[in-house]
Amino acid sequence: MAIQILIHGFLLSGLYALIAIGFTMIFSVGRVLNLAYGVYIMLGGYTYFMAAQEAGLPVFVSFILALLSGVAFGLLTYELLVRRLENNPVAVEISTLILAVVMQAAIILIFSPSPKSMWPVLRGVLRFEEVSVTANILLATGVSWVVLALLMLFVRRTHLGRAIRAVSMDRRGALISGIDPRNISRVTWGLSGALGAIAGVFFATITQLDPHMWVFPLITAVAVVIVGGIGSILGGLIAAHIIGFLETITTTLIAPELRGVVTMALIIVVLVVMPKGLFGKEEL
Amino acid sequence: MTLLSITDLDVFYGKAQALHGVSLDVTAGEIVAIIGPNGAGKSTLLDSILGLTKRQGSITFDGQDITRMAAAKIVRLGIGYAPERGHLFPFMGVRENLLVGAYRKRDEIDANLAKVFGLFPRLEERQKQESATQSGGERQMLSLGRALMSSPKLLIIDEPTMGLAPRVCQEIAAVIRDLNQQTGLTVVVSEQNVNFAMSLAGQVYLLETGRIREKGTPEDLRQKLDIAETYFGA
Ligand SMILES: Nc1ncnc2c1ncn2[C@@H]1O[C@H](COP(=O)(O)OP(=O)(O)O)[C@@H](O)[C@H]1O
Ligand SMILES: [Mg+2]
Repeated sequence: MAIQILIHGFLLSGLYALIAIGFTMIFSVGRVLNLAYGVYIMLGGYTYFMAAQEAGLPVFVSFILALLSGVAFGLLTYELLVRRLENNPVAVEISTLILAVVMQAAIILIFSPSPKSMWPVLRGVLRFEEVSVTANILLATGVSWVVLALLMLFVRRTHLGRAIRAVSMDRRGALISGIDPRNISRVTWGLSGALGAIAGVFFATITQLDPHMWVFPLITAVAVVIVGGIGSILGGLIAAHIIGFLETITTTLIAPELRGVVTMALIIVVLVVMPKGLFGKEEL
Repeated sequence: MTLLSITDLDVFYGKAQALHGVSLDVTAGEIVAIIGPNGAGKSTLLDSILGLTKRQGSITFDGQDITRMAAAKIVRLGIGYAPERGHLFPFMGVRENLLVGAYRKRDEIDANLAKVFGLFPRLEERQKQESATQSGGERQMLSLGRALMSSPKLLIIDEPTMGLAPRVCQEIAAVIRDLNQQTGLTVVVSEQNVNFAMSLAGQVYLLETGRIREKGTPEDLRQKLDIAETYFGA
């Protein structure tokens, strides 16, 4: 049991880190909380469901379509709302929350309020001694870590990636280096949508696909940012693991209904005790 | 040839006017200094050239009207800026800060890195050091270096000696003079340190409460302004 929890906690944490990173990026670059972020996750899930299960497209193609839906919706959020409300974080936060609720209603209208049962992206169960893990969650974790590593390389080794970090550290410094912060915002919102949607495909297959599924990942993302300290990738990774393990312990040992509750409690505790998080430094 | 020309520039912060009808010309290849006490509007003037303020009037650079242009585009035309307080990227290393400066000039990165490291060997020794942990002098060097990474025709420097020890000031002055004499780089530099400015510049403008009060060669200004000492204690 203990080893099962350990392994599941570890696997889940990779996915949580992926969920959180797309959310953190937006905060680092634009200093706003994107409360519509959970929608990218939901959209990823539904698009994949439509493509793979309803239309019978190959897994890989369905995955790409899900990713593109995230990019498109991320860009749309930026162009239609965020860009127009620049310099007013509260307005951005209120309007992205409203957008999330509107999207929830839209999903209910189109797909009905009841949950859809999703097939795993990868079938099968792997057993080692008394421990069993699904191939699906292994794939989710593997993809999460690969995407995180690629993202790390991107922001550290490419001109565009460095420009994103530059804007997040000193906007004016970036401006006078010839970087257009609006373009960087666009790239970041598109990327954030992609990351959310990729995470969403796995999140939906591991939990379930329903019109309310945007709430929990959003809370997780907020928690990772708050616990890990704003904008720190390493802090985010560690925070994702703390939360992943806490979730696994409470949902397996106490009750599955407690998913999210411990995370929210953790948010409050960290806010009160150490407002800058464990690793608070303003970088990406 | 006039490289930069500013005519009747008014700049506002909200309703407060910080610059009143400022005009200034910079000939290619020269060093122009803008001196004036704290709050005179030096930074506001330099920020305005980079398109960072709310402004009226006319600014042309290298034959193009840049009055309404966005900062990113102005940089691409060939203006490098080392602003007040540096605006470096605190959690990037020295080398990474320089690479960001090359965002618009990727084909000349190696040559420009070599040039910057030639001017400031200290930067080359500590390429990985995060700029947040640098000394004031190193930060000023990095700020100049970053501005040079875009191969500018005009280098604008806001109070390079602020808070620096006299020895470091001399080092910086020597670099600015070298750049100007050896590569023909045009420089606009603001200063409260009058001696520093006078020793470098061919043309000096005195800015006071948002207006140009005097302009001329350093000798002209010294004669017109015996009072300079009461102003700047220099
Ligand atoms: N961001 C700002 N908002 C409002 N007022 C400003 C701002 N920056 C500068 N000022 C005002 O504009 C005037 C000129 O400031 P500044 O250009 O910084 O002078 P200097 O660089 O010569 O010390 C000062 O009165 C200053 O208070
Ligand atoms: Mg100033």
